[in-house]
Amino acid sequence: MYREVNEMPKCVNCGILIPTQELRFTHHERQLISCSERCQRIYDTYKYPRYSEDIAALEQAGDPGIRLGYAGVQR
Amino acid sequence: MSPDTVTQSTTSATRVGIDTGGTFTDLIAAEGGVLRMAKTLSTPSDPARSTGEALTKAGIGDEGQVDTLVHGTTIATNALIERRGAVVGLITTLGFRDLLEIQRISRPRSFDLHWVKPSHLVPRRLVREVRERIAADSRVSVPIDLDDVRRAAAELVEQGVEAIAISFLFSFLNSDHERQARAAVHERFPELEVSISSEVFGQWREYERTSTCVIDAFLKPTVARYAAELSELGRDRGIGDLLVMRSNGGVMTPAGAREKPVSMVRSGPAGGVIATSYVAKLVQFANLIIADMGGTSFDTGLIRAGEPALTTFSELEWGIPIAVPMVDVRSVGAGGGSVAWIDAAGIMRVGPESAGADPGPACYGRGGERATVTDANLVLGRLPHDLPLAGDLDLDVEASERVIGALAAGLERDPKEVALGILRIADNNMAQAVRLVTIDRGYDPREFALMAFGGAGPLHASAIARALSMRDVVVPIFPGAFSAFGALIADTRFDYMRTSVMAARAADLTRIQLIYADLEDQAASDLAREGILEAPTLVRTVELRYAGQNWELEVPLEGEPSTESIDAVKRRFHAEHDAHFGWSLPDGDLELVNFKLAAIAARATPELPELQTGPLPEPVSSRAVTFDDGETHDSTPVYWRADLCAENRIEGPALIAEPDATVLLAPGDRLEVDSFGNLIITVGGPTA
Amino acid sequence: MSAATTKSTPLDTRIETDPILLEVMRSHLITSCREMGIAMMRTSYSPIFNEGLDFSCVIFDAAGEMIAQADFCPAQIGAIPHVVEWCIKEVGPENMSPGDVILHNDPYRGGCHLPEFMVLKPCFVDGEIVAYTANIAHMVDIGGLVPAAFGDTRNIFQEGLRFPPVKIYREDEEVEDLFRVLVSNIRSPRFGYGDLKAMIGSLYVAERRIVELVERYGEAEFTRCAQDIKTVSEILARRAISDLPDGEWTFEAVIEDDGVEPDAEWRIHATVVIRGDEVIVDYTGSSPQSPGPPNQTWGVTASATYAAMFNIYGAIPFNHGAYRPISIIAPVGSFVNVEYPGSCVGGNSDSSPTTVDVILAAISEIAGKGTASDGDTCGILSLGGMDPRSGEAFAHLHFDGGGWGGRHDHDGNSAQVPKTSNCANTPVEVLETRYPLECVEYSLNTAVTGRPGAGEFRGGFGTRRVMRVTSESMTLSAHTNRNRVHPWGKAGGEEGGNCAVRLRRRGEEEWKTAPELLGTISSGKFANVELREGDEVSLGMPGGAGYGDPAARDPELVAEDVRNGLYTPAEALEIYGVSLDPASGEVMQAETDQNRS
Repeated sequence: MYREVNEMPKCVNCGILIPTQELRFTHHERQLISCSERCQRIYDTYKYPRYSEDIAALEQAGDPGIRLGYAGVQR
Repeated sequence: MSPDTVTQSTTSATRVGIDTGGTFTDLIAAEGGVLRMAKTLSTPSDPARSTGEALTKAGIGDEGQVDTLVHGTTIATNALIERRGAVVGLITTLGFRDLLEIQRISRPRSFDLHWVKPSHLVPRRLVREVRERIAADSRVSVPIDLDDVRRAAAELVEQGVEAIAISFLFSFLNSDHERQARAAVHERFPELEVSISSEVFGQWREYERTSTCVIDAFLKPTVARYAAELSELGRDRGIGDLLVMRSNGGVMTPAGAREKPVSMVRSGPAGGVIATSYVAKLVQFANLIIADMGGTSFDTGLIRAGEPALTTFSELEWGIPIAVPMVDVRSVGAGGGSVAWIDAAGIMRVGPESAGADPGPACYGRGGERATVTDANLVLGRLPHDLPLAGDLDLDVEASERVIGALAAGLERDPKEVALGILRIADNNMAQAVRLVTIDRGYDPREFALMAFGGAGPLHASAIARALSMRDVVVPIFPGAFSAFGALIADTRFDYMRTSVMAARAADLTRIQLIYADLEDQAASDLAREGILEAPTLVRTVELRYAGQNWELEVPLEGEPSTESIDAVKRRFHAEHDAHFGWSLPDGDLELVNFKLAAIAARATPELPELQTGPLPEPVSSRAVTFDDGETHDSTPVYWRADLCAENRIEGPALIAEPDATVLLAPGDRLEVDSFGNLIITVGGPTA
Repeated sequence: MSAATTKSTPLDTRIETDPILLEVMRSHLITSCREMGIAMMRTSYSPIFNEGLDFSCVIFDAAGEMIAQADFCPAQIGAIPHVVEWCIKEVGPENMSPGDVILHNDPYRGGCHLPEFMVLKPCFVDGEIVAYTANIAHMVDIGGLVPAAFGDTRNIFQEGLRFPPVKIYREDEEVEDLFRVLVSNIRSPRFGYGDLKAMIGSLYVAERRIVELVERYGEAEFTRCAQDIKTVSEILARRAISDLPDGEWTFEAVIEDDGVEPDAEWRIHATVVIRGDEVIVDYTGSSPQSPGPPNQTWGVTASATYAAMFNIYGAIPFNHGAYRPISIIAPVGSFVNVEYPGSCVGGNSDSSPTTVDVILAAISEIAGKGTASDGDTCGILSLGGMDPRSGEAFAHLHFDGGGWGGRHDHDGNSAQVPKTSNCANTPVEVLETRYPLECVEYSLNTAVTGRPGAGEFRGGFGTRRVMRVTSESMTLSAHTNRNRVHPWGKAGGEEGGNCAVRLRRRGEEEWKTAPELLGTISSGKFANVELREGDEVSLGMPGGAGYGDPAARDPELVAEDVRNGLYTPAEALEIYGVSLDPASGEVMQAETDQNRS
């Protein structure tokens, strides 16, 4: 059956919608989803270090945090 | 050309083809079964003069000796490239003064921050608007205000314009306003050159039509001067028929050229293309790449299945269209006269600047002080200057060594290395141009043979072929005057088109017959004006589309227009639409749009003499020649081309010399002479 | 190879394939893409296809990566790698058969906006997929709120028909039910059907050329060349990035008025991070998505980013390899990555030019290619109604050229589409033949409010177009930008002009804005207002901004502009401090020097 796009995950780094074949990885004990190994690397070396405080704050506030690219533990 | 309309020339008539390039003026004369060649240096400022000199040199300069003379010239092309032509004013419909500034708002490359939009030939201050309007249904919605036209013309003349282009919206449907405007301009300024867009390019799309019309006007004074000089020469020498090559590969009278100079923009290359497709049939290579290297430029194009490609689309620069039927040829600035120089970064470059005929390469001894491709060839021993050469030139090797030495000193390199470098850069530039007409269009050059001509073509053909991994090279007869040969054999050809959109379901046969009757009348009168009274070969084609589409597909109309032949056109359209575009709508509504006619009056073609077989002649001399790998072969044999017999075979290294060109056969190359004297070379050795 | 396993290529990678063969193959593929485009141009029905060339043609390899494209419309070229790649993944190559064609226009799945229809065809040789041919083209009408798509929409459902990847051909046969659904939902069904057939037919044209190649050189050689083609571009792109200094550069600009909240503004904020041979473009800090249509999808933002970077790279064959060194971070739910079901029809056409210019503003200077902002709007007018001549419904999408910004070494070009587009205008003669409109004027916009910014190198002029309605009635919608925000100048250059959409009732003298005449809330973005026979609409396109101090402009260039009627002598003095001789128009050097000192 058809699955609407709001039921599909988005890449924690770049924000692209992932219709299929998402990559799951563990980052600082959180389960994250990315679209590619490259995005995983950029998240690890650029995005997380740069925005870690914001990401943590958003997490605490219960916001899914995707405005900063954090896809949440589970969709 | 169809055999039934060919009349064989009588033995006494001498027919002459002449091609005036940037450096040399070449002549081929046919008399009886004999072809003769002559070559002089061009006089770019006065092409008629070198034409006269060539005639004199060929020994046919006296009154009444020449029956027919056909002239191909780059005069219009050069005027455009150098943007040296008339100061043009444009008169257009009120509200549309900026069409030439706006153009089509797109750009040649998607991603180029630094691209500068080319400006057109008419600056904004020389554009005037007049009150008039033809509507999309061809009716007059605003009558023309001829006072506006007179005022505009007076202002433009006051500002110094030498020619006026008139282009109104929808004039391709109704040219009445343009004609009235021209008459009003001529009333006041009878001598002023005027072009109207409906006559130059009677099709829709106002920018393309206006652009072509402006270019026509821009060329008018230049071509008028040329036509007058040529006609004067014709009178002086008592030449029977005087004709010029047109862009479409046909010929016309100088008066015709003066009327529509834009039809001359490919006059130069057209001869070479016509000659190539003629020789293609003799040498049995159906697919050929033209490699015409003269003193100034390198022209290349394709012959596929024996036929030259025609296009109605070319551009002065990107975004500045010239829309007239013409042979599809691309030019780059690489020739024997191309100058080697050192750029700001200390890198050696070759061309596009050419030393031309005057002063010419340093070795011409006419004061040229810069190293050229020809100088590099001479220094490397590739030009047998001790043999008689065309143009009565004594090549000065020391001058070449001096200028190349100077360049080498600047680069702190060995002179021989620099000479080889000049040739490598020039060869690569030409190979790139060939890439653009083959690989860029999806053709593999390896499936073509290279037809090498022009004064310098045979010297560079082997290297160009090698750079493109091509196997076969053809050096035709008279390679140094091959375009002149094309002019000699070209037919008289006129192309016509009438737009009349009609639904195919309700196709009005009477109307179509009337259109063709009208076009045929026009052809008959144009041909009569050219002095041709016998019936021409008529080729009819129809452009049609599915109702609602914007572009048409051209389909031949076999025979006279009739219900059957029109039905055949429709069937053919569905099939070709499917073949070209991957789909068709067999039940879809069709629109017939353009009715086209080509009227071709075949001119007598001289028979090419066949060559006898015989033993391989002795070389006339031998010399030290340095090849691209830097190796010098001290006793490279030099054959005289006129000595060669059919079926002779020669292995490289060797030089084949003739008065106007030299063929370089690199080590590993093999050559065979065919029964007409064309040289068929199989390129050997390592390929790039 | 999928994006999931893409590895970057080291700069010193050696290419083993015969360079001539590689060049032949690459050019053959690019030529096939061009042929695809020409087939579409020549057989389509809508002028936006056959005159505007608002489409893009690409070839993908069996690994699902782009190996060739032809230079048509950059806005689509940037998105197409993602649309096609995602589409192949979602459908799955195992579910494709020879003769299948897949249709897709979902903006959220890597797409641009609903009007951009993508069709994709797997090419089979000996039962195996060797490549894919695909194109994206702008369908003029797709149902929805307004004819020709650009309205004041609040969500995707108002914007028209949406297709997730679906088969529109199965084994060379039309899926008739789907076609019936499609054409029954659009306003000009015959045109829509013809355009779609042209798109699909052109896939077959390119497929033939690919099969030729594979048959001539063999599948193994073809596959190897496909890899190398991408690798070569990647190496060139990485080298170009390596030439830029490492560091971070930030710029921010706003999009005005979304047609729903006319006084609001949305930030596009970009941080460009250059790290060795790769670049990260991070849009964190951009505004949340707007309630109206100017939002950008992820695909649009990626396209704009690639377009900007490719302008910085220079001439590199653009295929998947050229994208690999570029990473994008576009926060979900922001203006640059709209979330379902947010509306987004305007983002692709009219917000993305600003996005390109934001990146160029950040780094063009360090790349030695400094440039001021372009006009940055396409000036979109959507027109629809009945054509009395044919009795058929019509929908027309109109756009025009603005001015480019001045550059560090040259004036901006006049009358150009923004850098995210490369569409051509529709000739007046085609426009009037096809639609019940009369073009009254088409000129350079020299109005004071619209003209370019002054500078040592001034911006280019936009166009001004006046059209008159010749049918009884038609609807007009507008989606334009820079009606209020000005293109920004650089290096002391002045800001550029504004866009202006004005209306005039038949027989009236005065031009009015849509709010003045019709009570809409916005003058630049409004939907479905009614015009009647004889009414006129005028579109003034903004001139680009200036680069460098106007007082440094060559006085001769100023004199030339005055001679050409672009400025008055008084303006030459006021703006540029240049005094001209009233009689001859020549520069008076001494006075000019004094004015400028």
